[in-house]
Formats: sequence, structure tokens, C-alpha cells
Amino acid sequence: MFLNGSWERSTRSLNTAALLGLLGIGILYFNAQSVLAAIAVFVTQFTVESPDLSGGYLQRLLENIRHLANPLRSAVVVSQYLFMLLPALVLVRHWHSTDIPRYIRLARAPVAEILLALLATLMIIPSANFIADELVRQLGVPRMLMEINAELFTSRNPAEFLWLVFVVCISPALCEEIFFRGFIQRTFERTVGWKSVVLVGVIFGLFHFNPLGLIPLSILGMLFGYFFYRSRSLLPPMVAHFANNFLAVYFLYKPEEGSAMTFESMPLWLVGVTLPVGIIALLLYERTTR
Amino acid sequence: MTISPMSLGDLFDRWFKLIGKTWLRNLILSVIILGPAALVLAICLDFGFSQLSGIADYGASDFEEGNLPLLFEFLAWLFFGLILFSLGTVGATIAITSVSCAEMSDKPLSWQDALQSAFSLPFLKLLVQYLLQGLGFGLLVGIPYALIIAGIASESVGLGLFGGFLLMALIPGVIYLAINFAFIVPATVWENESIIGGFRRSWDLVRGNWWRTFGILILMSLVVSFAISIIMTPLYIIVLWDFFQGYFEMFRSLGNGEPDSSIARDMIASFGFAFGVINAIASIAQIIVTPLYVVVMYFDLRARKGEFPQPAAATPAPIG
Repeated sequence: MFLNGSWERSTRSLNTAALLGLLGIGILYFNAQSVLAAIAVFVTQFTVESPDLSGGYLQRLLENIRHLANPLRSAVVVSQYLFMLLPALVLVRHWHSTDIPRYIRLARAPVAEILLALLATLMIIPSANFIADELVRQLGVPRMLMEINAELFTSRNPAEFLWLVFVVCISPALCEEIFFRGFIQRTFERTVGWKSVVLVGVIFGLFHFNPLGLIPLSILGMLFGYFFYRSRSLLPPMVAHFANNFLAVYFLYKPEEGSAMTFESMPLWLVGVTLPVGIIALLLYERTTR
Repeated sequence: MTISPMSLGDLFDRWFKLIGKTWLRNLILSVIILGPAALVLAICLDFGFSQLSGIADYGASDFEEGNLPLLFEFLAWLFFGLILFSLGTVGATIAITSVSCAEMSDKPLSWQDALQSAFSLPFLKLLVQYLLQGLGFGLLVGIPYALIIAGIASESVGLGLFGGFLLMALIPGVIYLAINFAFIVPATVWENESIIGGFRRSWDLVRGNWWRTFGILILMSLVVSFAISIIMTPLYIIVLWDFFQGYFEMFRSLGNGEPDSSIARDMIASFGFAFGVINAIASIAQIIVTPLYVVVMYFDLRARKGEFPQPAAATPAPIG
């Protein structure tokens, strides 16, 4: 029997399983990440020589973040595997099925589906970023703060770039997709069907605790959820998630010290060009996965 | 009515199902009862913070002439709003507990009926119970604090240390009592217990299950606070938009080395009403789920005490 977990044998609601898994792992993940980050910062402060801080306080803050970037990245990556991926797999196995790959749909998908998912994501990213940029502009967030925020995703040499690809692109594509799509959406899908795409998409946006990024992150979450729902495979959303994060890391790669980091708003013409292509790619995806 | 002792998974399942069945009625009740109180609190905060922002108009030298009355006016408004809001919270807790207990007993209650129960006798009883609890816990924590302050004031290390140790020793006691009295609301509202009877009933229910009750209540409150923080984070930005705009403007002015005090004044003035609104939304979100897990636990503890008839065990098939 495929669905042989303890939750499947009880009369409990599947929605409870999804909600409890979501909130339980959420509490564990964020608290563990905070503790790990605090430990990493503490250890770094006592073992690595601090940079010579000069200039205004924002400049000093930026220097400090640069100094602590790698310990913080390490804390994020460790917590993603240990406190998001691992508990999600344990809960799927214990509650739903010992055949974990089948439950979370870790299955092959046709190349055409993966390529269309990639194209649709790349074409929708400018629209999502445009919304985020507009909110940042309306709120008047200082450019320096944006640069400080981007520092964690900025690399200055090929080795750091590869490390960031692992931390920011591969790990979330694997851990977050298995958690949000493979476990949570899959479980909600069994009771609410296609609505699970919207529900988990919004939850995905909320889980990033980034109010200004809520709308674009929810759009991306729904997009990844849609790929998962239509293709019955985790691969298309994983590839799409990787591509989205990779773009950010790629554009923030500064091999030459001092090369300007630009925070210009997403131009509207680019949105006008890419959005229709993205919609067409989605329609094609719908047809391909029919 | 058959309710069996529940496992941890069953408790969460029952709680989430109860939220699903009652959320609309609970939302209506909390908006009707808590809404006006929250609005008054928001207006009070608006008046209060407007007064507070006026302090920036006075120089440091005229503190007594200008600032002190404004500060007192702010505190008076805040106090008035908070009292009204607290009374509304008690009423809403009673109504939502009634709806939840009725649902658990398979006798669904309409929100209109629950509303009638909100401000009847249980309201007064619960008010006294909360006052007694507040007084008791206040004394337990207040006495050691007073000793610490007295120790500092009289420069007596021994007295200060004694106060500190007493505080550390009493914190577990406060937690112990808080868990034992966690079920006074359903006991008073659903079983119509007296003021003291409610405390006694809650104590009796928890007896023998203290650690289990403690662990589950902590777990459920963690789940509630995490869920609410997820929902509230974007709402904070939306409702406090003007405040955050001012915050970033101040950030820029500080970065330029030309701090502008008028930005801080505008920020303070814009904070009051928005904070009142966000506080109301957070309180309503919290109150439509929190009394429900207390009710589920209350029924579980009653089942553990054998207060509900259990279904007859299946007769074993004859052998041979």
C-alpha cells in the first residue's frame, strides 16, 4: 500500500497534516536559523579579525555585513538542510508514505515541460521585480539599505560565486521545493485540488518575512506550484526556482572591486515585452501537460 | 456526547477542525465586540501620540511647563483606551469560548446567542477572576522586584541579591499556577462555576496532567504566535506605511548628516491610529483561535478524568 503513514491510517484531516507540518517546520526552521546565525556571528567576531571600520554609520554597517556574510550564509544553508528538508522528509515518511520520492513526486519530467517552465519563469521575473521595485520606490527605502540587503547575495570572485550558487540557488531549489511543493502543496492538493497552488503560493510569499517582496514572491510561489500541479513532478519547479535565484546571484556578481552595483528600477518596456511571452509560455505549458 | 482522550495529533486535528467550523461566527463576534473597543483605543492612541509629538515643539528648558501635561494627557488616553479594549477582550473570549464549547458538545450555538452570553453574569465572574489572577501574579513578581529596588536604593547588596533569588525562585511558581488556572474560562463559561469554583475546577482538571498540559499549551501558543506573525508582517507595512516612509526618510537625513526633527514628529503623530488598527487586527486574529485550543484541551482533560461516556468496547469474537 502506497499511503501507509500514521496520518493516513487515522481519521484526521489531511489539511491538519499540511498546516501542522507547515507551522511546525516553520517554527523549527526560523528559530534554529536565528540560533545558528547568532552562533556563527559570535564565533566570527572572536576568531576572525574585524575590518577597519571607517566612514559613516551606514558604510560601517555595510562593512560589517560584508565581514559577516559568509558565516550568515553558512547558517542559512545548514538550517535549510537540517531544519527544513530533513524534517519535511521525516514527516512525509512518518505521516504519509514510506515511498517518499513517489509522495513528493520526485520524478522525471519531459524536457519540453522543463524548458517551458524555465521560459515562463524568466519572462515573468521582470514583472514580479517591477512590482517589488515600485513598492521600494513608493516607500522611499534608501539605496544604501538596498545595497546592504543585497550584500549577502553579492560575490566578488569565482569561488565565492560558486559558493553562492550552492547557498542561494541549489539549496533553496532543493529544500524549499521539497518542503513547499512536495510536502505541503501535495498534501493540500489531496483535499482542495488546484486551490492548493494559490494557497501554498501565498504561504510561500509570507514565509519569506519580506513584506515588500510578498507580491512578487507569492506570484513566483504560485508559478512554481502551478508547474508542480500540472506536471506531477518536482523537477520543473526546482529548475524554475533555481533559475530565478541564479539570475539574482548572477547580476550581483562583481568580479572587479569597485564596479558599480546598480539598483535601477525594472524598466516598464521590459515588463511589456516579457510578460506576454511569459503568458504564452504558460499557455503552452498548459497544453503540453494536458 | 462521546469524547475520548486525545493524542497530540488528535488535539491539533480537533483544534484545526474547530477553527474551520467556527471561524466565521468567531470573527463576527470578535468584530462586533472587540471592533468598537479597538476603534476607541485607536482614536485614543491617535490623540495620545498627537500630544506626544507636540513635545518636540517645546525646548528642553520648558519641560515642566509644556511637556508634562501633554505626557499625562497621552497616558490618560492610553489608559482609557486600554481599559475599554481589555473589557472587550473579556467579552469576546466568553462569546468565542461559548461557541467552541457548544461545537465540541455537538450543540452548535449561533453567534447571536453567543453574543448574548458575552456580557451576562460570566462576564463579571471572569472579570473578578482575571483581577484576582493579576493581583496574585503581580504580588508574586512584584514583591521580589520591590526587594531588588529597595536593595539598590539602600545600597544593600544582600537585600538586592535576596530579591533576585526570590524572583528566580518564584518564576517557576508563577508558571505552575498559570498552567493550573489555564481552564478557568471554559469552566466558568460552560459549567457555570462560581468565581472560586472556576479556579478549583481548572486546578482539578490539570492535576495529574500538569507536564502534558504545560507542553501542549506551549506548543499550541507557539503555533498561534508564529501563524499570526506570518500574517501580520505584511500588514504592518501596509497599515504603518506613513510611519515607515518617515522612518526611511529619517534614515536618509541621518545618512546625509542633517537630522531633521520634524520627520520624527510626523512619524510619532502618524503612529497612533495606525498602531491601534494593527493592534485590533492582531487581537482579532489571535482571539478567534486562542480560546479554541484551550477549549479542546479542556474537553481532553475532562475525557481523561472519565467525565464522558466511552463507546462500549467491541465484544471479542468467540473462539473455537
